[in-house]
Amino acid sequence: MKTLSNLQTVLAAKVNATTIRVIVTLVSLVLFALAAAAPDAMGGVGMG
Amino acid sequence: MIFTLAALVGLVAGMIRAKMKANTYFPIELKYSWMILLAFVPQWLVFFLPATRELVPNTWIPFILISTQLILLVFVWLNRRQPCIWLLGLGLMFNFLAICLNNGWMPISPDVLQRLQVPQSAWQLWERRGFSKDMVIPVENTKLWILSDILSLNLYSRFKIAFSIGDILIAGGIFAYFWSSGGSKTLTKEYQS
Repeated sequence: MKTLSNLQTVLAAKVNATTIRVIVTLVSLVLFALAAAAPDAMGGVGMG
Repeated sequence: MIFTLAALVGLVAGMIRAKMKANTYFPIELKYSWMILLAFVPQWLVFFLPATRELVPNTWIPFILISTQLILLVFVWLNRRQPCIWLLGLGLMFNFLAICLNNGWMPISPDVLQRLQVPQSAWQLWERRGFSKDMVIPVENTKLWILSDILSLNLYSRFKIAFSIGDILIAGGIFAYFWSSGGSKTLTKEYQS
């Protein structure tokens, strides 16, 4: 039971780590693009 | 929207790729990510946030644009070993060169604006285009014209965009980064450690 609980904790931590890494990378690369790119959006929809 | 779309499509494609290879999807870590924020915040205040962008004089823009893009170039160099970063770096370098050679502005020609059916009252030669990074410059006065905003997309009235080859490479680089994260076996090892 204790092993199962430990496994659950480890799994939860890893799922969180994956989700956090995905979100951080996603936000980082979109911000990179917004700062590095130089499009000129003329309608209501932008390049962001 | 296009860059967010490139990232999301790349993320989904990378996840499917990882599943097909029986790997766990785990994006490769970008080092020194705080440098992106350092470069983005001044640009956000100058180009995106309505409350502040109106207060910034146009004379400051070239300095802010060049210095923040320099920070991004350093970031790319520090992450040069990461997959597909070279594509982001090449796109950034193309835009950086076009901006540096044209006095700190991304050039956009009257031809492109006419192609996008932007009314003549909305732009003026040698003036900044709205709150964008672009300056309307005739083709004959544009240095390294090929790297300026020469491409256009006019899907419907709310989706008119002028963009550069560098912008395409950046969008492609984002997609490729997420895609490549789904294919490496070393990622699984990193995840397990």
